Parts: sequence; C-alpha cells; structure tokens
Amino acid sequence: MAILLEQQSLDTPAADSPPLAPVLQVDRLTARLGGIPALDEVSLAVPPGEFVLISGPSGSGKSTLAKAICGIIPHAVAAEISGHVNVAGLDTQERPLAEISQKVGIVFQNPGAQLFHLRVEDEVAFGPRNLDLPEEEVQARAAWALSATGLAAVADRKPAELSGGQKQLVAIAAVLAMRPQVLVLDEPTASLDPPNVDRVIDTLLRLRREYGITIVMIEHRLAPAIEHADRVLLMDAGRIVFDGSPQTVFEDRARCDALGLRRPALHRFPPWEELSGPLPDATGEPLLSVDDVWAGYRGHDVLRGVNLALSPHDFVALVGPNGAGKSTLALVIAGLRKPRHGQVRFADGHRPRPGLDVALLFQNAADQLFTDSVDEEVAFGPRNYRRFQPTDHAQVMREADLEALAMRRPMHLSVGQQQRTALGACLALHPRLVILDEPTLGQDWGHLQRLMDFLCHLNAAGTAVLLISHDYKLVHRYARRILRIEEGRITPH
Amino acid sequence: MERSRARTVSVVAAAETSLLGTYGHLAVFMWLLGLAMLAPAARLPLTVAFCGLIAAVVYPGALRHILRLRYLIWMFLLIAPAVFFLGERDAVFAGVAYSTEGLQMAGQMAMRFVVTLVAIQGFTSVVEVTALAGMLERFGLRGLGFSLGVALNLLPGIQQSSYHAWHALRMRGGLRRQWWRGLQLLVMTIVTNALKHAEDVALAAEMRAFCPEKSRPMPVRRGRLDWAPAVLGLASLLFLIVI
Repeated sequence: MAILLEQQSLDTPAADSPPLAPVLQVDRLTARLGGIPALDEVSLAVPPGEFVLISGPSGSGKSTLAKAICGIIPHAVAAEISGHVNVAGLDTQERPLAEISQKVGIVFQNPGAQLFHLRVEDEVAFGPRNLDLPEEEVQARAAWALSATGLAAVADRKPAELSGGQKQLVAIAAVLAMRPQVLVLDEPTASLDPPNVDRVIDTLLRLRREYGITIVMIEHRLAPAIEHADRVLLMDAGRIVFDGSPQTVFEDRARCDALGLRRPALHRFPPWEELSGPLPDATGEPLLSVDDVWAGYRGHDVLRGVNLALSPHDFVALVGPNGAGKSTLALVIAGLRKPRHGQVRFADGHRPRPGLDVALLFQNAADQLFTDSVDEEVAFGPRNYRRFQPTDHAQVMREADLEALAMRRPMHLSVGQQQRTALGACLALHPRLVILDEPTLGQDWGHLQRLMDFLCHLNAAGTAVLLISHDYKLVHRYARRILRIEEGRITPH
Repeated sequence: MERSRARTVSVVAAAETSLLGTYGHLAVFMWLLGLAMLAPAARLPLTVAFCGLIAAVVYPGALRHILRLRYLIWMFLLIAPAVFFLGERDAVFAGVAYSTEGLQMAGQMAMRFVVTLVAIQGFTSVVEVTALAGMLERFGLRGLGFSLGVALNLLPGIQQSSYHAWHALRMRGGLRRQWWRGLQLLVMTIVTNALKHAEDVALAAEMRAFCPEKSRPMPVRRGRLDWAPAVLGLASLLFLIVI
C-alpha cells in the first residue's frame, strides 16, 4: 500500500518567538564564468517559508546566483568561485548534486527542456525513483506533488500535450517530489499568457502557505509576483544593490530607471476583450492585406479565416492566449509559411518576400543569429541579395548601436545585445513591416524600452510594426491599435 | 490531499487487482503470434477463430481497428501477388487467370496477417511505451525509458529550433549567393541548438538526482493472472505441434 507523506506545513511563529535560522545562507559569494565576473561578494540569508523575489537588468547575475544556490555552479557548470552557499545545512559546493537536490530544487524558464517522460506521473516520479526510494514511497511522493500543484487530473497525460502553464507546473511538481525546502524559479512565467501566469503564481503561494516551502523567484516582470513577495532583492553587475520590502522597492525612482524596473500598474487592466479595437478601418491604401487565411500544421488548422489590413504607419499589437495562432499568423504574414487557403498581399499585389518586405524578430533573438560576428550577421542578408552597400551597412550598425560590438560573437552577447543584432540584421534589408514575437522574453524594461523607442522612430519613418505580446503595459504604451486573436480568428469576427 | 491519497491508492490497487499486467499482455501477444505463425494450414481457420476469441476477450477494441482502409490495402498488396504468381494459373474468374494454389496460400497469409495485426494493435493499445521500456530495461537495456522520453520530448524542441534557424536564413535570402556558407551556418546552428537542448536536459536530470549508471527501471505493472496466458500459450502451442 502506498505510504503517504505528512503535510509539512509550517506553523506561523509567535511574535515573541526567536527568528528562525535561515534555510538559505549565501556568504560573500563571488563567481567568474569563463573568466567574466558574474557575482561579486553576494551575501544573503533567507528564513524558512519566505517568498523572495529577485530582479535586475539582463546580465546582472540573477541566473548565476540561482545556479549557485542549487549547486549547478560549480558541480555542473564550471566557474571560479569563492564564498559559501548553505541550504538547509548543506554546503552546496561540498555536497553532491543528488544530495543538494533534496534540499533545493530549481525550475528553469523553458519547461520543455525539463520534461523528458511520456507521462506526467512518470515525470514527477523520476526524481524520487533516482533516490532509490521504495516504489510505494515514490508513488506517494508523486501523488503528493501532483496534488500540491493541482495536476492530479492530468497524471496520465503526455507532458507534450499540456499547455505552457501546465508544463511549467509539471516541472514544479517534478522538483517538489524531491521534497526540497527551497524552490528556486528562474523566470518561470516569461513565456506564459496572463491566465497561466496567475495559475503558476497561485500554485507557488499555496506551496508556501500549506507546505512552508521557501520560494526564491527570479523575474524581470515584477508585477505578477510583487504583491505576494515578502522581500525583493535587486541585482546589478553581480551585486545585490537593494534588499527590502516590496513596498519600498519603487521609492527610489532613479534606481528603478537605472535598473530597468517597471512599476506595476496601479489598477488592474481590463481584459483584452474590452481593449481590442474594432477590425481595421484602414485609412487610405493598406500596406498589407490578409484575406481569409487558413493555415496550420499537419492537417490541423491554427488560423481559421483571418482577415486584417495594416497601414504603412500602423503600430498594431496582436494579443491572445497561448496557442491562439499569433506566431503562426506572424509566419504567414512574413511569407515563411504558406496559407492553406486565402492570401496575403502587399498593396502592389505581390506576396510578402521574407526579409525583404517583412522582418520577423523571434521570441528568442539567439535563435536567429548564426554567423561568427555581429558585422557578418548584419551584412549577410544584403550580401546574399546582392544589395550590400558599405554606407547602408554602416548606417544600420550605427542606428542599432552595434558599432562597438561589430567583431563580437553574437552568441556571447547579452540578451539585449542579441536582440539589437537580430533587429539590425533584419533592418539591413529595409523591410516595410517589422513583426516582433514576444520581445519581452528575458528582457528588462530598460532594454525593452530602448528597443521599442527605436522601433517607434522607424515607425514614424514609415515602417509598420506588428507587436505580438502578452504584456499589458508594453502594448498600452506603444501600440496604437490592439487586435485580439482567439482560436485562430481575429475577434470580434 | 485526500483526493491524491484516494488516487494513489486506486492506482496501486488497480495494479494489484487487474487480471493482466505488462508481462501478462506480453504473454498474450506472444501466444497470438505463436499460434498464427505455427498453425498448420489445415488447422488455420480454427486457430484463427480461436485467436479471434482470445483477442475479443483481452483486446475488445483491437478487432475494430483492422477494418481501417490502410490495413486492408496492406493486406491486399501482401496477398495479391500470391494469387497470380504462386503455382500454375489453372482457373479463370471474370476473364482473369489465377492460381487456385496461390489463392489458398493468399487466404492463409491473409488469416495470419489479421491475427498478427490484431495482436500488435491489442498489445500497443493496452501497454504503454514506458511500461514496455521498463520491461526492456529489466532485460538489460538500461536507461531505455529515460532515453526514449528524452528523444520524444527533445525532438520537437530541436525541430522547432531548426525551423527557426531555417526561417532566419530565409529572411536573409536563404541559400542564394552564399549558399555554401549559408548551408554551413545552418547545419552548425542546428547542431549547436541540439547540443544546447541536450545540455539543458542533462542539467535538469542531474538536478533530479539522475545518474545513468544507477538509473532504476521504470515500474512494470503486474497482474494477478500474468502466469495464465503464458501457461495457456505454451500448452496450446504444444498441442498444435504434437497433434
């Protein structure tokens, strides 16, 4: 018979009781990855059951700190480190990962890379099974973790069939089954739509409330989690520059601006249904028309009769839940995927030519960088199309602020620099429409603002922009029109 | 918590009380295949009817699947040559000469094909890939379940990043003027992305205490009557051979 685990809820300490000993203690931790400084004398103490939110600009050392807390650094990722990390009494530099993983678990940004079984239940049972526990104990832990994350109903499903939010919850459940006291999450909501973000946050709060699990969450977007956090840490250049309550984090406006922090909206945004405008009543000749487009994959239609028109000076946001067809529509408009039915045409009657007419900036800019230097990356397209002009090239490099990076390897750049390089490579062909597919992924608000301001400048000069995003604030700030797509149709339909 | 407790108990209980587990279903599968392959021509119709009866009891859904068009086409392609090319064409039907010996052979092939198809359909419909992998792991293929899961979950990711690389190249002219350089870069990008995915998976597995040398096989569901098909199968095969 299955042996079930006792709920390990923490009793709230009485007001006069002594402070609890920290479950996580980082002491003067310094780390260099590949010779580059990543952490600089970081010290931190987290008592049991606390919800700590860590934020800061791209490249500030947040993910390195997360990996050091979990022992990935130095056990799996080589680094020169000094100082100590202690989790629930274990020194993560001394003890093996198998032991550390029973005290602290980590959930990464991309759930796809953390799931490798054909059934959710097997996925969750994988960790305990590796600990060589009796099978009944393994089953009991898996059942507890599935129940704690609200996934009991999908235990027999294939992880690949689940939504992005559910996959992330499976990744959390898989870590929970190891019974860690500390759960570290590295941007767990970055690629999720608002309902799935809420689902993940609610689950984390329940884990803390019911099981006393300490949560360390790294996020660029503070808004979804800040109201629930006990404490916020801000990092910059490998150091903790702020450690305080969520109420005080935005008091220093200059610091927020310098770190690219976004103030959460004072009010909740109304749902997209209320914000999305009527279908385009294009003024004058539209730049591009999408007429009754049906497209999909392996016989399954993702787009089901999409109609829209974009004007030359349009700055349109395309919003909708995960799986609604946003990225597929972007591929069709960019000419990278043929519609099964319907057509996409420019005003002059021809189909969109990938790159020349429409540039698409992927969610992860690194996916579209493939040469050895930033200079070659930007020059590749024009050379390939026999349109290379040194003066044009120099201008694009200057406008995208890439001159200083010209000889750097694109893969070694920060996320923001990679995004600028990808954008520069796109702009070198002077497209008439730029599509941005979720540009917020892994980006702090400062980087994002600079990118979007640059696009506004292009837009004013006549380049249409289509922004695909779940991010309310970004959409509100930049888009002049909002289109909502749901189940493959632009609504209202 | 109560719900999960109930569920855990039900899963364990189901495994304990079900009549056939993975080994039992494997025995049924081997039994059906053995009967189909070893039955002499004279006893084949009776044997096939017996196999149909077993399948109807153990895999009630499998019989429906064999009526799919693609299986019927496969069967036709398998048996049609026998009708015309095996033995002498000694009969005519609607102006077309055929071999009666070939027709008999084709009939036998069709019956054996149907039983094999039902056995495969039935077995794969009730036994999960992970259980099968768990069983094979016990026969020495260590880490198969993990490798299979990684492959099946990783491939869509690698495919996606390969599409991205190809789309990125297409947006910059594809394999035009710099086709050789473009091709090199494309292949390098796909390989690099695949390695990156693999590294992510290895990291996540390591954080869940995975060690290839010490990996434990996936559990195999056992049934109360797992022994029965093995005994009955052996008995019926012996009967076929002796009688």
